[in-house]
Amino acid sequence: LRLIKKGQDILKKPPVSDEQIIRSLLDREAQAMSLLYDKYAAALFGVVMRVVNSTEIAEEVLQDVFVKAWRNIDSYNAAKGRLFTWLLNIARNAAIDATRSKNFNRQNQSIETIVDIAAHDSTSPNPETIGLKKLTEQLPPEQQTLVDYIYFKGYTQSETAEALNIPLGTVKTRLRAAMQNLKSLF
Amino acid sequence: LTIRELIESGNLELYVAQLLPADEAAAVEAAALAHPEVRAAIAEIEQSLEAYAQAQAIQPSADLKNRILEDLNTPEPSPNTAYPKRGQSLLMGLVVGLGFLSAFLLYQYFALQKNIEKAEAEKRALIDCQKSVADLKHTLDIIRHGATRAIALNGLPLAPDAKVTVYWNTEVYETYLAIQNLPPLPKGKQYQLWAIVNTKPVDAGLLTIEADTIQAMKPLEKADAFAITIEPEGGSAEPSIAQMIVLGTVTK
Repeated sequence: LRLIKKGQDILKKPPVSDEQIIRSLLDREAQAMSLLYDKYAAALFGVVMRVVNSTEIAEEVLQDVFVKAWRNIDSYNAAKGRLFTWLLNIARNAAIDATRSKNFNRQNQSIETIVDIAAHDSTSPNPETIGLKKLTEQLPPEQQTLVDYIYFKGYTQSETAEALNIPLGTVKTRLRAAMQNLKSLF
Repeated sequence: LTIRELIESGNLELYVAQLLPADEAAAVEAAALAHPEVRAAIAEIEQSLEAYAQAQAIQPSADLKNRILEDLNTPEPSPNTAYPKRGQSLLMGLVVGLGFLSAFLLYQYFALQKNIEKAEAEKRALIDCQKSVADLKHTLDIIRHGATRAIALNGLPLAPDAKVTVYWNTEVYETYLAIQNLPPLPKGKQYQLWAIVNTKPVDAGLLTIEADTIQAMKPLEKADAFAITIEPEGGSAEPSIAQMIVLGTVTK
């Protein structure tokens, strides 16, 4: 019983701050990568999975992302954005690169597939995110798709407009609306 | 564009997605630096995005973390050695090649050194040979010379079969000696040539040669006769008459 309590304590332990992780990374501390991984690996893996749609390739990409983060942490500028945004950019580019590589077996990445992945809970979820997931499901599907395309799959405005069959001029305003909606959910 | 218009334009959302052209991105960054509201708006977008991504997180394989940590422990490739293995094997090849080349050159060096020594020995031998030939030619010249007298020294009772010829030039006074037959000497003894001048013996030199060769002796201005005696090694000032082996007189 005490063990279970201890386990719950570990699960509930407050996340390490980005500042702490960045300082640790810059100091080349052994625990730095472990902290970074624990905080962001799953979120980034979810993003990469949306692009490559293969666990094997997504794990290769994620490995590449963390190696790049470790080597290029010097180039991260906290004044220009959050650590996650920086990591997301690395992950998105790495995932897109992977889809362009010769070995990548282009799979059907229809909107249905993406929605499937988004709805599919592949592993035991972090109890804290169950609530968040429900909130996410409140975001209209078309807004989810828009956010996925722009932020996770690296679509340009015109590519997004074409894929969603909407006028180019409305991509920006719809994205703004989707993000405002997200902000209200969290 | 006012701050409010910028925030509501949707450009900040595109900025976070890295979809703005460079000039517009720079404008957003400048505005963010100048206006806390812009900074806050961008931070809100990023936080929403992060929360959205966390909400849809998927756990990768349990061992991925260890694989990544192990991967980071392997040394980073430097851009200068894009093909380290190839570079290393090239380097190794070069080292081995240089090793073989060095060994080959060293071998060549010693072989050459040996050849040079051999050639120099041959050269010395050749010079000696030339000198011998020149000496012999000179000896022959003297022997054939019109003023050279050949005096036959014949065996005395001590060695009746002994025979020696002395060639004495009466113009340049050079003296040569050719052994036809002389008995072997006891140990510690040496033959010595004497010239008899006005009945007195004059030392004409020690014999250092074997039979069938010609030896140059001391030059003599005058001689009535020649004789060879057995003397202790190194010669004597006076001849041991009892040990006289051969004798020959110079005919007038």
